Amino acid sequence: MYWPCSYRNQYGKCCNMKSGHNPKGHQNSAGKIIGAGGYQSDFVFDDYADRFIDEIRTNLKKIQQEVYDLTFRRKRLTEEEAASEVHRQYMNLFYQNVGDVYHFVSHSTCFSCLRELPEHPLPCGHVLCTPCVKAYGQQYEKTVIKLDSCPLHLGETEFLNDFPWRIKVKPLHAGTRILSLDGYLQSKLTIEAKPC
Amino acid sequence: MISTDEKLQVFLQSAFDHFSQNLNVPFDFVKEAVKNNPIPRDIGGNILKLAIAVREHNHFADPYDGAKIFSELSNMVASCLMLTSARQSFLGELGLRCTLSQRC
Repeated sequence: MYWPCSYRNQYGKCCNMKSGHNPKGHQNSAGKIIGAGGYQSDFVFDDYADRFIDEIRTNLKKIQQEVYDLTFRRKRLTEEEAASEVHRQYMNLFYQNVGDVYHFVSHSTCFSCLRELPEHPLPCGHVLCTPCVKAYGQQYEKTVIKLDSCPLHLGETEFLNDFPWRIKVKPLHAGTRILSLDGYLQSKLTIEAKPC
Repeated sequence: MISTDEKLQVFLQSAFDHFSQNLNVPFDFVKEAVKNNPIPRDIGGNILKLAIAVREHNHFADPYDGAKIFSELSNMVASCLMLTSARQSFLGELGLRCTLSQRC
């Protein structure tokens, strides 16, 4: 569904995915039909899945060993802190290898840990989840965490003016609160609606 | 990692449940651990989102080189799994973590 057809000719490259390919044939990115025929691709994930899992397993073994080595070398670190530190190195390397890190922005996935919902936007455009902010920042005040640089691209953001960036977090046991303007105030307020 | 008393209690109870039903089959520790701390369904979705982002924004010689994309991704995903298991303090060593990686 997400992998485009690999057909190409002198008019360009087909950009249709498998699910929407068949009725029209090959189309280039301008929408022009450049050839007839069905979806074709030499990369099928089912064939590659075993290798992908194997690679993950090998890397996991290596990373786990590194985390354990780090906890042995620096006794003060907990396993979580050591894992965060090793993860930051791998993450930086990954984003350096694949492309421009500024394009990797998501508002539904934390691209640092791939697990939590991102909540805290940084000046560089990336959005992090609370556990990642806590792992890579320093406690500044009771409910404020100071982040020296963006963990996704450490080197590029380390000495920028925007950093250290202060992030307010909700205290652990505080409920969700909303500001409500009610009663007397309501009648005094005029709300301007701008046409979209 | 070493189990906390709270976590050990959960395992002890499931082991009692298991052996009250069946004495011949060994208690599967790993299966129980995965049952107690399931990897959320959306982690697969999150990996997919990252894979799509890599496909769109990579600067490889061939931007549609699937094998290259996933081999780069494997390092990141492995590191994320390690981080997740450390944050959730999943018990056990590599065996369990491999099981987790398979489930994704």
